[in-house]
Amino acid sequence: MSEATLTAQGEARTAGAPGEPGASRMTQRSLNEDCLKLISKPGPVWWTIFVIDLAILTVGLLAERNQIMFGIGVAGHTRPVMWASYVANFVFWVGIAHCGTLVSAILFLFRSHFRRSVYRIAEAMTVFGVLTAGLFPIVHLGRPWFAYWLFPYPNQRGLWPNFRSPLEWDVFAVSTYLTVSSIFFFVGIIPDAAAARDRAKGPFSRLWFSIFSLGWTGANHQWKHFYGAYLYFAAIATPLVLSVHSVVSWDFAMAQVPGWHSTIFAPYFVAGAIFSGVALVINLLIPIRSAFKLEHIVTVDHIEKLGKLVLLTSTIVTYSYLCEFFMAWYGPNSHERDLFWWRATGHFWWAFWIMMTCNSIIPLLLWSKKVRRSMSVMFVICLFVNVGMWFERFVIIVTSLARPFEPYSWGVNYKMSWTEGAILAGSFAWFFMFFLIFVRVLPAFSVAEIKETLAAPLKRRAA
Amino acid sequence: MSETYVFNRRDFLKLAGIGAAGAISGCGHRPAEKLIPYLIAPEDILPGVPYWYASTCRECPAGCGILVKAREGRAIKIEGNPAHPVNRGGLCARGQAGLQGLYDPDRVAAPMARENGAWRKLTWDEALKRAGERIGDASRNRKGVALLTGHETGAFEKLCGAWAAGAGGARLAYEPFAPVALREANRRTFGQAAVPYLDFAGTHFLISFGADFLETWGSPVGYMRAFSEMRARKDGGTFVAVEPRLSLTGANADEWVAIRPGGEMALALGMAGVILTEGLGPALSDRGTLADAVTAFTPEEVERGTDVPADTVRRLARRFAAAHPSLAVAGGIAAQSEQAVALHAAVNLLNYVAGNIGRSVRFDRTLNYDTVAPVSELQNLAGQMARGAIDVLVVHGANPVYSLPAWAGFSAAMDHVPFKISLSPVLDETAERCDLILPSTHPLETLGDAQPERGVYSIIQPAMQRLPVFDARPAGDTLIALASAAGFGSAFAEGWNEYVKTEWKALHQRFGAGRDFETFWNETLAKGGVWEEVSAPSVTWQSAPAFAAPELRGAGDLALVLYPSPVHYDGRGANKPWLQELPDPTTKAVWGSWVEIHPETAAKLGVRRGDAVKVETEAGSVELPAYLYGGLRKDTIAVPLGQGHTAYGRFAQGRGVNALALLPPAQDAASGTLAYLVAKATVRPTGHAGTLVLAQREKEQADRAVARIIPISALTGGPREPHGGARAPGEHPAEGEKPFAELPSQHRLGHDTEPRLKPPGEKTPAHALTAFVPEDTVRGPRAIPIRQGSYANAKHRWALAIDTDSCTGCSACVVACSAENNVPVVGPELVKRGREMTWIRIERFEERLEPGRSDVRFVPMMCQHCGDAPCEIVCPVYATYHNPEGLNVQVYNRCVGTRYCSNNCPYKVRAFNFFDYSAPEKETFAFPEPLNWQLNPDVTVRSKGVMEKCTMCVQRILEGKGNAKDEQREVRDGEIQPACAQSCPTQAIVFGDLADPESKVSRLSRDERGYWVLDELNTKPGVTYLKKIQREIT
Repeated sequence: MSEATLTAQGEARTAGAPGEPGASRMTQRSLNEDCLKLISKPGPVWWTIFVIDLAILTVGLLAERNQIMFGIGVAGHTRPVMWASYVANFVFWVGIAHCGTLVSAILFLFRSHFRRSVYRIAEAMTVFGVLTAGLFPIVHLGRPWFAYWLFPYPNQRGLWPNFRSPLEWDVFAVSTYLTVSSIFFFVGIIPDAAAARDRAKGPFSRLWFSIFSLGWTGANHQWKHFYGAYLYFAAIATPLVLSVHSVVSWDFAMAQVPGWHSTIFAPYFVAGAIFSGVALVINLLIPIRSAFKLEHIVTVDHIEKLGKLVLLTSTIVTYSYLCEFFMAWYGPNSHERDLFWWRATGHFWWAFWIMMTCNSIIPLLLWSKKVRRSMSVMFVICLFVNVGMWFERFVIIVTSLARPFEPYSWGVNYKMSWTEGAILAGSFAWFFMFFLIFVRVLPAFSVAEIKETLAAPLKRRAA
Repeated sequence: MSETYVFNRRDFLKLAGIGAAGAISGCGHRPAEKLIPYLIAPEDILPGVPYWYASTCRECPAGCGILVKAREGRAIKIEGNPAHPVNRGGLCARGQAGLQGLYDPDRVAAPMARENGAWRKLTWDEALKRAGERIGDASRNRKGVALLTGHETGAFEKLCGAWAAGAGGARLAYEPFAPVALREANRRTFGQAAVPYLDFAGTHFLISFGADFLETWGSPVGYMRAFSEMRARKDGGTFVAVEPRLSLTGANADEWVAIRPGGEMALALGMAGVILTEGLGPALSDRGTLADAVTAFTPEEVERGTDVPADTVRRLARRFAAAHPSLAVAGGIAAQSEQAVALHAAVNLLNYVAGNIGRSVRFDRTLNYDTVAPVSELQNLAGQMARGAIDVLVVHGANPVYSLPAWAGFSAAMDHVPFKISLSPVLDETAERCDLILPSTHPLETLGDAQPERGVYSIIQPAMQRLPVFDARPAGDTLIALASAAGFGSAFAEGWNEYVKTEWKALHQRFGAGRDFETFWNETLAKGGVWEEVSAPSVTWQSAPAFAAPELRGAGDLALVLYPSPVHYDGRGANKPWLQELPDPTTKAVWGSWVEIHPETAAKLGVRRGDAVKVETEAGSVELPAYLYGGLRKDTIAVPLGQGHTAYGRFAQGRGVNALALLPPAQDAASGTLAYLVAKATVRPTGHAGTLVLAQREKEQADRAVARIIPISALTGGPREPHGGARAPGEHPAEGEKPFAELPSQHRLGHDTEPRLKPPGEKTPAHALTAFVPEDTVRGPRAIPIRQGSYANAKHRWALAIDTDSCTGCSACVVACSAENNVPVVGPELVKRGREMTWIRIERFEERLEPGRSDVRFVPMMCQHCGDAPCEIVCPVYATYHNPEGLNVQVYNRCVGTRYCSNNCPYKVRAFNFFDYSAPEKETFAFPEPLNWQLNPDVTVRSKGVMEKCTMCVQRILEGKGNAKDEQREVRDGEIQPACAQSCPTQAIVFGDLADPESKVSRLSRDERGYWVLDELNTKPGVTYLKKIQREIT
């Protein structure tokens, strides 16, 4: 390696011998260039991906139109499985959305500097994840045109939503999370937008970045306020990481369905959310760093650190799985015992074992440092993790419902319809549409924070 | 002064108004015109006020009395007539569904003639002229007119006879499952060609040789009621079912004797032999001759021929003779073999030697099958037709092309009849083969009468104006008009209505008691008929026919049992969507037919549930999906009849197969009845999957204890089985709002063995063993009613008590509920995906399916109206909430369709509108015109995307409360009845007010058999179930 790279601790390090002529150095200028070069006119590769993405999104939208026209019956729900892939998608995307705040806020508070080069991507993923997740509570309704009835707006009928319903808590949890994570995202981007503004050529792009930079000049007091605000929002966002997914988990835990009604759900869901979120961050970072030649900014060290986070959360999730089974076996509730046995061996055994394989067994590879440092293997493992985490939600929702208390409904099994498949694909397209646009119009890496790691230019010159 | 235009507020409002009006008129659907403006109000009809018309059900020969509810001039609901002697208020599923025959979208709209293979509409004048000419010709020249009807009684029967006589032709009444063989056997053995009155209610020991008297045989609703009455007594009767296939009736038995098909006669004679040789019965003068007749049938011999152990034969015989009276009844498919008369005679003999004749078997209120002809006569007619001796065939109320196997020759012979007239209101298989259709009206829009039993003169009266969309006429009018057109009409009155009234003039003489005819007639119309006590002629044993057991024919190794579907009967129910979607009580299959195979036999054949198999006899083969059923002998398969229509409207056509194709030519020589139990079959897997749609897939309740039992000894104070109870006797749970609380950890112990623990001082209710109370006067002790915490001051707490011991599983309540509450029928594809909409279902749990003590339990399951409802807290928009009177209420308009309530409902009784079943423009529309005329205007028709469920018929509660308020009194107990409770022939479902400690429902809720389904969840249901009583086999 001839280029300067960032260490896992975020310190700049040059691989070439110091002072050697020709050895490129990471300088403030080169960093600006490297990080902001993404903001340029997209080439044919980007356009191809973007058009394919929009085509998939269109299919998803058509499926949704179909569903609104004919009724939710075009999806595979049955009694007793009244929730299925849509709610699984909702939880999946909310989970994805958790990683961003974790990386940017919690790791910020813990001063884990490796977050610097990855947190913007993670934050963007958060905002877009929430935007995607927020669609599904509406998509899954029988009468989505009345979704606004879930909001407590004043009306002449004097009707209020039911504040005892966990679904109502979701409304507040998700909307709060969207608000806070968006603010956090836009606050963090201010100095970078200013840097982009300063190198912008056209009047339009100058105006565009002026909006996001909010008149940033880099003055000392601005930095002071910026860091104050950043810390403040990080402090607000941190409990949200825990609370939002806890609330989402209560959609299930508050119901009395065997397999749902469990106190472990909140921590279990939060861990699962971080698990899948970090995996998706890795899945996004690896192609970006190789496509835009940013290996020196998003280094193998960083990916390895994220890999450790994946491993940690994997073990927590696995512990939760085992704990549920233990409690089912150990506890007095025969319904629960029956459900867990059925979950592993019944009609949906394959979904359960996909979940176990992807979430508990495959991540065991991450104990090996070699694996953690191999980008291609990491990429594949993280793909498996995401598949596994989608199936985790599927298993929790569908298998629990498919084996209700009442034996009359046993044996009616849910089958995913093509409409649900199209809408699931469409949700990925929706997410990636935002993401593809984002990397082209806003700084995808935090130039300002990475610069902090560089030695002061004057000092370096004196040396 | 410059002209300034001031755009003031008023102008703005005007413009805005114009804009809005334009926008509104320009888009959106035209609102459906659903209001009925009575510009000139008819005198007798008040909008919103229902009128009830007493009539008689014509869906099967039993002739139950019905009350037809009409709103705004159209019939919307049928209920049993509580005053009618046949059924006393109950009504079966088929009777309830009669409405869908009235509003069948495939009814023939006008007279039609077949011309060049296509149907052409005619006017009535044209059609009658055309038919009259042909009939006139035929009757004058060749005497070749035949009139074929179904089972008819009363004035119409008389008219048919007179009509055929006038035309100089033949007249035949054919009814597929009519007990003609029983009639014949009684003629031979007792000299009475009649179907006797069977006193189920007074019986102490009941043994059925294949008679499905709780399903289709005889007068099922009346029998069900009487059976319940027998069960309710504390010294109540034991019921033993002798049949190769455990039917719904057998599922209600205490003991199942899985006899070899065709062995019933031998067992009956064996039992009679034991009684005679051991001298157990009453002293009989002809005992010696009788004993000679049965000497060949020793218990050991019976064992060889029937697989019933000799000990069992003796035990049953002793038990039978010891009970006074006992009752043996033969019927169903067992009595439709080549030796049908022999079986009936054997059972008659058994009843005779036990002294039951004149006691539990009486010839007073006999069932009226006097004119029904056996199939042999129909074959004679077919022979005449084939020879060309019949010029004109008139068919009404019979569908022999469908209900007879091809070898009977009727279908083929029809081709040789030059002119065939059908009076069928629907294009069934026979009508399709006719040349002229003169559609008759539905019984619900026709005047008439029926005499289903001796001494019962029942009225059939129109409950509404004839539907204008169908230009149909009463069959009586058509026959009279045909007679006039053919030139022999002078014998008849001007019209059918006059003809009926003329017939009733004679009854007026007997029953009028000094009133003029009009008064008598109007009283009769209001009451539904007149009835009298009739005396039984005393009978003695005359002679026995030769006793021979039927031989099953064919190469196969599996006996084939074809049985009439309890849902579709002989197939006439198949065009009613409610019945098509009503799960069969045994298999819980809908919308098709199937073959039942014993699991072990199936395993040997390599057949799994749902696989298509080929069933083959020497007569033919059909392909059917397999249903594995343990309630079957291993050497037997069973196939229901009633499906497989090739015509008969959109709902019937192409569903399942008609298994009559499997019947080889055979009939009972003695009576001429068709033999259904005659063939052996082979079953071969085809390798592909069949279409078997099951509403309930698993018939085992695992450890869920949804359906519970209690041994009778625990109730009558006999010895109790020891159990591992942790509580000392006399130690009771604390008295609280949960009167029979069991802690979850204690819950599993003894829930099938012990009565609930009563609070100190509470006595066992004094009423009978079950919920059934013949005369509802018994009152129990007082106790604190169940109150809702926050609604402590509410006046009522509505609740249900359901006695699973009385419930026979007949499923009448399911259809009643659908009719009352506008529940859409969704079709087989959606049922297969678990999307049926019914608000009440009958759950069937097979605890034990083996010969001896089988244990099948039925649980009617509907919304439990939980006091602490899991569905209510999770709805984000309060679409479901608890009302002050204890109802769990669903607000359709507020529902956004999160379906969370259904997920959290432990009973899974909520139904979701996955598609738009109520929008006429959608292909999922469930009520094609004119089926939508049946819809109850008091109940919302739900739209797409909302949840719905049982409301305890809140519209009826409001009506009852309103009536009470109008009369300035309190609501009386029993005054309000939800549709399910009303229709239940056995009073298994009881509705009432828990706030009234005297009410029947309060009393039953405190019963020691009471339990709540899934009570460990502490949902505090408003529906209390009463455990099924496990009676001892002695």
